Amino acid sequence: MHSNLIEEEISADTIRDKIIEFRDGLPGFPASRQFVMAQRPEEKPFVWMHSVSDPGLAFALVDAYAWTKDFELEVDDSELEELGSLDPMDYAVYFILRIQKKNNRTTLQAKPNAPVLVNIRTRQARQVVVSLDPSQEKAEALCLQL
Amino acid sequence: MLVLSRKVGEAIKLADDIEITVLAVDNLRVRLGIRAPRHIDVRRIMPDAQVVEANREAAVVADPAVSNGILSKAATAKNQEE
Repeated sequence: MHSNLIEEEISADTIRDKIIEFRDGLPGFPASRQFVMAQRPEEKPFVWMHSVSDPGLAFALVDAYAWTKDFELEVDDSELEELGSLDPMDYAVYFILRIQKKNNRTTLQAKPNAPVLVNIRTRQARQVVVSLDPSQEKAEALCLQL
Repeated sequence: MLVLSRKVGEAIKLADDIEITVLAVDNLRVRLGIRAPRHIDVRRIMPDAQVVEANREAAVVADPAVSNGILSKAATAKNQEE
């Protein structure tokens, strides 16, 4: 490689406060292609994903590997190719959380079969649908009560 | 909707310059090869109505007064769990 670029260290933190792009849109929100990943240090492994075009729209996400210890993901190479690389190290994986408030309690629930993949180098993102066996789905759909 | 049958290796053509070839088929998945000029934007249409529904339920109207602090509380709760 003839390159003078110094490779910066790449980690999920690399995309903090950066714009990521869902080229195919986020299902249900076709107009919102670009989002900013906002995370204060004390919020880790959770992160807010704010729509760029619609400042009123945001999603709460959690790092899938922090949420479930044994998290494994199988994704078709062709999907990864379109996000810019096949190297698993280039990807951060998040679950979108549903926040519900009832009787003064807040519950966060993950949707484990539709994780968001973000290529932390290219900042291309996509929500993929994976098939999980029922026990896996149950484990990963865990609720967190506050 | 126009419905066509094609075998693996066969293709269809749209207008003069877009070619779609069926590359492989298994139980649940069809692999398509698409040859089109650069300016043609090719995108997947996400079919999963459940995902759409789940995303809509998860969408938060970013009201700092409401959402502020939730994720740091969540992080504290998650850390205590471990």
